[in-house]
Amino acid sequence: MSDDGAAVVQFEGASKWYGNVIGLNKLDLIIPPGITGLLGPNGAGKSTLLQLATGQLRPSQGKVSVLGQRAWNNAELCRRVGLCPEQDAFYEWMSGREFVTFCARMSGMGPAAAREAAEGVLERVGLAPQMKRPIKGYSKGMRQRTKLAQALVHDPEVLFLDEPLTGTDPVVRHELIQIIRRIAAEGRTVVLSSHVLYEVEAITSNVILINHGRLVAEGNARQIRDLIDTHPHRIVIKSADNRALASRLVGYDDVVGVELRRRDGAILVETKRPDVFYGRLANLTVDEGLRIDEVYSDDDTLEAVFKYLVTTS
Amino acid sequence: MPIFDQGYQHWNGALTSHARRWWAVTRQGLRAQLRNRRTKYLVISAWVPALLLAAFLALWGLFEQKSSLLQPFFFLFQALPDEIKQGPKAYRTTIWTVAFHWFLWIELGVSMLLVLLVGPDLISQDLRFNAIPLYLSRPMRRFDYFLGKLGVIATFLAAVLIVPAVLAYVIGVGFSMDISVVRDTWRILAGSVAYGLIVAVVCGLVMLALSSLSRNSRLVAMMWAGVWLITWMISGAVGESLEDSKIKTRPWELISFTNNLHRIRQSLLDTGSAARQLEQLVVKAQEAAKTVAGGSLPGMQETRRGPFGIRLPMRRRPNNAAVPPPPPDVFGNREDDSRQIQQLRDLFESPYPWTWSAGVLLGLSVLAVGVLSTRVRSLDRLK
Amino acid sequence: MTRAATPMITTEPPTRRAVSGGTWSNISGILALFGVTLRRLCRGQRIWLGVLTAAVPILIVLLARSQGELPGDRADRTEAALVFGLMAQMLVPIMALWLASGLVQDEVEEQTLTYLLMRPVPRPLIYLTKLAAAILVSAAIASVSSILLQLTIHWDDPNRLTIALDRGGKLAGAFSLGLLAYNALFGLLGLAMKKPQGVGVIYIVVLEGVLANIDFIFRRFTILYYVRVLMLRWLGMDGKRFNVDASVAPSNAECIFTLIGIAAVLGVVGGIVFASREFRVKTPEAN
Repeated sequence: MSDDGAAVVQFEGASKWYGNVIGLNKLDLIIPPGITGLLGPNGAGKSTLLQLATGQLRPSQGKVSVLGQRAWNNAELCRRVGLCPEQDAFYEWMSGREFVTFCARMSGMGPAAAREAAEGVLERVGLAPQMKRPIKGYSKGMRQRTKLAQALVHDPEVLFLDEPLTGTDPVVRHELIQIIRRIAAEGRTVVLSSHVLYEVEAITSNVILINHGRLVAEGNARQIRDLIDTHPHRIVIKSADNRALASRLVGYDDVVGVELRRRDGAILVETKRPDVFYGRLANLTVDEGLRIDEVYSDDDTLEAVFKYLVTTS
Repeated sequence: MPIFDQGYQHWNGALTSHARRWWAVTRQGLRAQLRNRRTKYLVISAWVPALLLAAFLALWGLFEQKSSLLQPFFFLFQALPDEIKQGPKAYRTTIWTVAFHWFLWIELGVSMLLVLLVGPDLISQDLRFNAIPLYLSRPMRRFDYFLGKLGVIATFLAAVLIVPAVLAYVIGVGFSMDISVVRDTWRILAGSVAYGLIVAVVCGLVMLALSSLSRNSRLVAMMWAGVWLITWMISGAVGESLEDSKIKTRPWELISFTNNLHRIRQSLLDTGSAARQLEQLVVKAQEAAKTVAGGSLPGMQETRRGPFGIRLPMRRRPNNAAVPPPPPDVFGNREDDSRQIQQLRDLFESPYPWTWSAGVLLGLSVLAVGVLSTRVRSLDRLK
Repeated sequence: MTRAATPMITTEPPTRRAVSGGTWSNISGILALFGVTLRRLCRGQRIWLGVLTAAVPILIVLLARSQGELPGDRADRTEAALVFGLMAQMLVPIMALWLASGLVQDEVEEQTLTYLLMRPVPRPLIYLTKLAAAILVSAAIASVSSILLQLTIHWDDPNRLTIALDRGGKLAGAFSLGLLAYNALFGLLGLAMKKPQGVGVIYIVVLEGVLANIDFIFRRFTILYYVRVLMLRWLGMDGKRFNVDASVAPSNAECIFTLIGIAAVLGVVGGIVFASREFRVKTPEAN
């Protein structure tokens, strides 16, 4: 793997502009070996980050390096790096085997070795039975597998996967997740982007959150959770007397927001001191006879963490 | 059975009538095309010939009035034949016809280029990005969609053909200070406007049909280049090959898309009448030159060029002026004289009837409509 | 729940493949790319447009023949009009514009360029390989068209096959040299601008079409002039119609060297531009 185990991919003050639009804004980031999930909403800058890391885009400012080498326009680095792009584009008239063999040959393999490698990798991603069919007849799942196969065919050390699970059904998604886990288990560094949190959570707990081209947070889900302790905790309460309950809750100092949710009539409370709040809630039911049907935290999933970080960044 | 909200946002306000819905497509198309700098520059540069036309008509108007304002430009009119100088109003229609003929000839080339720039994306991009269902899922018919796309091309072509022609005409009439100009030249205005409309509709339909044939707009552009340039070159090559054949009507000119449009323009502007009047001038000039060559008028043994390259006799020189020897093949060469007249006829007339060209253009338009209706399917027939 | 169509996924760990580096390892990639580009260019609408273009001069000769025999002077006139005019001035450059300007743009529009740029083949080589494929395809179309044209013109001659191969071969040589330069030029144009067709057509009509026909120094800046001079000498044709005087025109060697030189310079510039340019396949394209 990388000579420098601590930094497989490194961004040093890297920015990227598209005319007046900023794609990435002074990003300082180190991606370590292992699987890293890149999270962010659409337009956050995930694709820009991946394209900078794979040398397809030149940083407007700063430096981007992969495995200690400059990423931009570095043909030799391409031997050690693989990319599964997001776009659903192929030479549609080719069969899956022809396409992956072509990619293998472009990676420097001879015709026989390329064919052997292509067949091997197509088998690994579960596309062996369909590999002789033209790509234009492939389902979405097959197309994703083909993209994965072309990225793996030259046996790269670092693999970048741009939204690899997009558009797949639950069964295919599960299979692809298994494949990606196995790829990482072989000792490769995998960086995958997604805007669907549970997909990333299913693969890794090591995540990077970006939004508006900026790094919002990085670490594992627990570390990120710790980061947001300073943010108000969100609690959902369902009650038959929700208006009376809401009017009581507004009076407490630690409650910074109360909202009556339209869709289910529940009360959404934002508090800076959840421990104190939960204790007080019990007293309210006993002392004032307010009926509470259901209480739960809105912060238990990574999605909530992400929502906090993104909306306040 | 409940009806679930599928994200459709119902519009409670009043809808415009179908008659105006195409305009939404046209307006959007115009905005998109005007973002291209090259298109903007081409439209602006297409107005240069219009300015020249307006300036020429204004000068002619002043020339008719023998205005003193014309003094600085008098040299421009020195080369004109005496017949024109003495009675310019008799040549008014001819001069205006010739001026509009050349203006529209230049503008047709610009129009073809403009269509090449704005046309290829119109339908091919909608096919490529699967955007046609977005149009047809609105209260919009396929006809509105086609009309809207046609409107984009037609607007650009009207901007370089019709609008400048009308403005130049108005300026010309204004400078002539004579209401009889309208009586003499109304046909030129009507012909120019009709020609502009024909070009806009035919070019628009053909380009839209080509645009619907491929998702690759570069291929569409190449096909348009073929319709415009290659058919023109083919027509020329066939003409060279069959020059001495028995066919005298030159039907191979019908192969060229632009030749057909030129033929329609000749008919609408009645350039044939203008050519015949100019021909009379040329014949008179040739006869006068022959008389001079016979020795009755010493000092007129040279030639000079009049408008449109017509050879004219030189003005008198004083008897004592030095007279250079005449070029050997200038006078008395019947072949040369008839060639001049033939060239003049070729410029303004065609040996085949305009209805042939109209038939070709109509056929192309019908074919284009057929292609469009086949290639752009209604929503229920879309895959 | 199981699915019948669920594919089998092997759990066997892969054996590590050593992909060697260096220049020679690129040759396999270049050959593969050349083959794929040839196949792309010879598919569907692309090739049909080329074939249609190549068939036009032959159809014109057939049309002329339908009006009676093709006597010597008429055959010469027809050949001159087709070869000097239609083919050299319009069909050949338009075909190059069509094939070369889309070499990279089509890959960007179809979003397949990423697969090429993510490989260890130096970028200039990727561009030059694609350019070479376009030159080969266009030259092949022009050559077949030239030989068939000569065969059709000289059909009445008992030695028609020999004449067709001789004159058609020479014509194919002149066109191929021209296509070398045209493809390099329009390939570069396709890299420099998003919609090169308008500029390309203006170049073909105004610069090449007008300047090459005027007997003035500027014609030496056109590709068409050198192609015509070569055709004039090799086919022994009369260049008066296009104001070309073989006695004062550049020598054959000068013409060939100029055409190859133009192609080489523009090809290298194209390679440099391709290597240094960003291609935004997914992210917003620059204005």
